[in-house]
Amino acid sequence: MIQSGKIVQTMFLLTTIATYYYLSWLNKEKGFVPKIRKIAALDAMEEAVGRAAEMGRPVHVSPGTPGAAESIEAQTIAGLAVTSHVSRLCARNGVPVIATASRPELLPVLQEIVKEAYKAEGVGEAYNDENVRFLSDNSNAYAGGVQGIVEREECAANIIVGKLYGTANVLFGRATVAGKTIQIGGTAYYLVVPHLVVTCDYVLMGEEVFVAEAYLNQDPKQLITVFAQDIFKIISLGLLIIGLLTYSMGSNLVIDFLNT
Amino acid sequence: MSNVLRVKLPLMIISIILVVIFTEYFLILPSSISNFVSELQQWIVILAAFAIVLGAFNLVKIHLPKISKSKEISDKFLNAWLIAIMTITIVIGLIYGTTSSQYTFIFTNLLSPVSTAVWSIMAFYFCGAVLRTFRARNLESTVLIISTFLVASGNAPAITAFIPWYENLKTWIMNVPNVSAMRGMIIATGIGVLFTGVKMLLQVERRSTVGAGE
Repeated sequence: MIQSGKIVQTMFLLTTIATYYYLSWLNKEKGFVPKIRKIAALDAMEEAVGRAAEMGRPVHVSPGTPGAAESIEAQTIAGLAVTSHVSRLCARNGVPVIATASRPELLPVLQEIVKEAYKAEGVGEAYNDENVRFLSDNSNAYAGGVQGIVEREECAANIIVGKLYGTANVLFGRATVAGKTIQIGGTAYYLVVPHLVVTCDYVLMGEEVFVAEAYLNQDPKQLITVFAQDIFKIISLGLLIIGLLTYSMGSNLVIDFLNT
Repeated sequence: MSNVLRVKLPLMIISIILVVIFTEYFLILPSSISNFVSELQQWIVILAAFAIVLGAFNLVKIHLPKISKSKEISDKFLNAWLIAIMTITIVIGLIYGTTSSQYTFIFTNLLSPVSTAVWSIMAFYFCGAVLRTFRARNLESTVLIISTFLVASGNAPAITAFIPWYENLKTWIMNVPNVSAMRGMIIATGIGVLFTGVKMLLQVERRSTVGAGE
């Protein structure tokens, strides 16, 4: 028995799963593979690592600064996928990668992800455990730590994608003023996006963070989920317009429907 | 065998836990299952508590050798300082408790001033970043500069005192174009979060779980 007020939510979830399976069937039977528009911030990662290889300097990468209750949440998961991709690029180009964690429970995950990336490129012996570091779970201390690493170790690129808060400005600030580091930031937290726009060279904003893995891998299964995501965005937009019109005419039709 | 343990088993555990949590959220289930789900959600606290020890060991492992290896005296001092402060805080916390006056002293007299200093630095970085970024290179950046100027100057009492309608203009920018853009982002992000859950449930999302070496 479905809980009252959650019938539409349940239907929404089941429809997303059904849509994914339908698109997978289309992919298998008819070779349907959706295309994603160019995302400059994700394309720039390769350029940033290439520049680091030329300069012989390391790259700093992090999956953001999630809070205590959200250490492994959707944006952090996207950030970990980006960390994996950047680590792999670095391993391929012989660039040392410095990965930092702002939550202690993220540390073993990060260590494993970087190690696997090195192994995947066939240079497992080049992996240095000391380059995957836990700094602090205090966001100010973490921001100060990242700033110190980027400056002291002269990182050629600073890539931070995931949940970010007000300290995003400090995470990128010093290197922005110095202007020697390519900075790529990404978050879906709308209040932090303006901070990234003024401090980073390339920015992933909002939902772009969640499509990063699909874009970087070009895996059809992942691309299908992005296409399904777009379908549901259009449905949401349709509901929004209908709701706006009906509410303006004095009807609570859409609100009642969504609360069913 | 290693592929089963390293790849398939973690993905299976994630899928099962997600099915349990989704089911508990949507369906009316016996209280024993609901209690189990609440218990499951508490496990993150236990995991985090174990992980903090791991984090502390990581800090010691990285910074302790640097005390002897560093060439510059300032680096030696900063690494030693980090280890010393961390040890003192842990020892005081273990002996007197985290609500004791000794522990609170460290928090209010060491951590808080340093944290405030980090926040205050932000203002300078922001000015530097704004000067570097705010150039009218294209239509979007021009709109950004104009709207920033209008909102920033709309907060200045000297301007709004002479031009009363100016404050309404600032309020309109903040409440209409700004809020509508933010809501659009919130809706798209919500759908993105939902699909991340679905991808993990269907085992499509693998990089963040099993890494690149699958």
